[in-house]
Amino acid sequence: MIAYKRIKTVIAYTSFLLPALLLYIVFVVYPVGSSFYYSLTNWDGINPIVHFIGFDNFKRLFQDTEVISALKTSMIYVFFVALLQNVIALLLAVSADRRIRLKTLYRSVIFIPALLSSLSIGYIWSYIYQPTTGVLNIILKGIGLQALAHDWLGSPKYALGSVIFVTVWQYIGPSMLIYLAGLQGVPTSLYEAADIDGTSGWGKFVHITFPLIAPSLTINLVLSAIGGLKMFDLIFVMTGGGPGYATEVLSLAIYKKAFMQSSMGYGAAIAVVLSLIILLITLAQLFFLRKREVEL
Amino acid sequence: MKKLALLLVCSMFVLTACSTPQQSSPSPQKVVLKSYMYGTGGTKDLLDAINKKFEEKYPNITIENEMAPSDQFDTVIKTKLASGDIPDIFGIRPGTSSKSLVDAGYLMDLSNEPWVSHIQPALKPSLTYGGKVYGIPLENNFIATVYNKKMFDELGLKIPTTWNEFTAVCDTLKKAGKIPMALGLKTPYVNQLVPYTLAATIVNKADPELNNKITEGKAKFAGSAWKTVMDQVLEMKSKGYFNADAMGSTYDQAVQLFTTGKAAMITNGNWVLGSIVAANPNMQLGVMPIPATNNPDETRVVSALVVAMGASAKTKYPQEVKEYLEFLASPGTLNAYLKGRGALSPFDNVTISPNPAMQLINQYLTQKKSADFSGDSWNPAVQGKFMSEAQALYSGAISTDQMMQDLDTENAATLKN
Repeated sequence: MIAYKRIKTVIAYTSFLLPALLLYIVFVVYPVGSSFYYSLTNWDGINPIVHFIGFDNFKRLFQDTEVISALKTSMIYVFFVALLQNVIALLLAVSADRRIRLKTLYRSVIFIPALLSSLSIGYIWSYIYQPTTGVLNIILKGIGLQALAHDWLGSPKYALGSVIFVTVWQYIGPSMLIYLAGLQGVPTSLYEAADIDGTSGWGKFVHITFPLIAPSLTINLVLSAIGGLKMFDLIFVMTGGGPGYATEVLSLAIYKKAFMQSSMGYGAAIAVVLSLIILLITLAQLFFLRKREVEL
Repeated sequence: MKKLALLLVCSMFVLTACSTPQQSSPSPQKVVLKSYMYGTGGTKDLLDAINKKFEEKYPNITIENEMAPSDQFDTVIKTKLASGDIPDIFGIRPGTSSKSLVDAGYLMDLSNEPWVSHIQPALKPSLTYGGKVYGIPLENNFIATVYNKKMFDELGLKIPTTWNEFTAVCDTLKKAGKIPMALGLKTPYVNQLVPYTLAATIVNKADPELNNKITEGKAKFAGSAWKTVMDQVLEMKSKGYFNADAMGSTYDQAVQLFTTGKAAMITNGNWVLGSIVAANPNMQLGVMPIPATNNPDETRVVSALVVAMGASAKTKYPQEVKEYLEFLASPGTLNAYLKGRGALSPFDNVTISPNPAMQLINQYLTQKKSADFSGDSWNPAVQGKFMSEAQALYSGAISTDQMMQDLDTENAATLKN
């Protein structure tokens, strides 16, 4: 009887898990596996006849200046996105955590960009950044800052920075929320004790707040690094990787090679390398950041 | 359990409702042909007008025409082909780009269709693979430099016949506060057009077979006439002949600069005429070649087949598809379309009176003073790379020597595979 019941529960559990597992296998596991398979071929994306060429694609990509430059661009992009996003989000969270008027409005305004689709954001910012008809330059010229009006997305000097700014603007809301949640978990008794000891505001932040919200920092840094490394849509819409290769991150290089230049196999090889890089960076982050988390 | 049963019954009902055949229709079988084509706004209207006429003639056939912007089309059609959701008729890129579609068996052999013998001889090779014809041309395309006739007249400018005259014209325009030439380099394909225009003259003069030799691995970009071409493009840029915001502008924004009278010239495919007329029908226009050397006799115009359609080899309605293609190629059908696109006729039995603005360019084409669209001769990967490299060159990120070297590396990689 007990055995029968146990089987029944197992069946029940499996029947709940199975649909999700099937979807996961069909839409994640299988594509990942076939990407790896195609990375060892010279498939052009159309022809069903596929030639197996071993590790040639991988050999080629380590000598391909475009891929190496894309890797560099990806690293710069991720570094600045993660840095700015976390510093600004933390500042915003600390200020939004106080008892201020219109607190909910303030939080919502910061969070709204995260609710919009990246495509709309990309198009809207393309218009804002447009050098002659864009709002940004019109305002800059209007207030006499002619010298600061650049071709934001068209100049290789400014394009990456402009894209980084929009990414940070879009994703600052969720980061702030995670920090807010962390801040609300810090017991007020600790601050009261610090007040009695006469600790300054900065001292309280450094010695109490920051160590105790370390889990939020870990999750935020990991999320922004993963998000940054696989960022595609926003950059694709705003610059298409250009001008030239100025904003061509790895995910765009994959797209260009695989779809626009009909080298699906080669694109898949770059994708495999990108996944390995994401895996390594995430593991390293988790290892170093977990160490400095404090348990209450 | 009860709920589940109810759900099942409901879904059965919905499913049967969907699959009930419409028995009310009369005896000739209703056929829906799916068509997927590249092009935007105005072009869809032009094609839809043709489809409407076709549907009047063949009431049992309906054409479902879906279109995508040119730069998104290729990705979507590849996905459609791979997933088996293949349209009966779809846009193809003539030249080397469609070779793998033929190799994969996606395209129907159209060699025995009655209209094949009427394709303009110059266009046929780019639709022929292994001796068989796999596509129908919709236009006889050329790369055009459209100029604002009124502005030229007001400034007393004549159509330049040499490179020196051309730069003089640009200098005068610049002094008059006009942008000599509008470019929208944010749109990837636009990056290849000024180079190809100059190459028609310069590369053709050096060696008409250079592009094919490069594709076969018998010649290199480095040290070839292509360096001269890109150096001249850079010269135009450094002298300020393009709009200062060219890098941050799209094709549409460049057309706008031209139609609002801020820019005097614009170089693009012949379809730019259609875009200009749609935005400002009263403009006085002319179309001219860009003389890239100082010998007027060497000037060539890029003439090529860019817009073509193919038929799915796996279509359920091969007869209807062939009827549709025959309708497209029959005299009279394409007239309004060609006029709207500013193109010439791809068939020798379809004559249209060309737009008066195209008179000069027409002379070049009829006198065979034309050269191929360079990118069509290269491997698709090299053409893609060329657009990125040209954009990087325009933006000042790389030198012409670097560009030649990068193209050779890409070409070598494609030869290896």
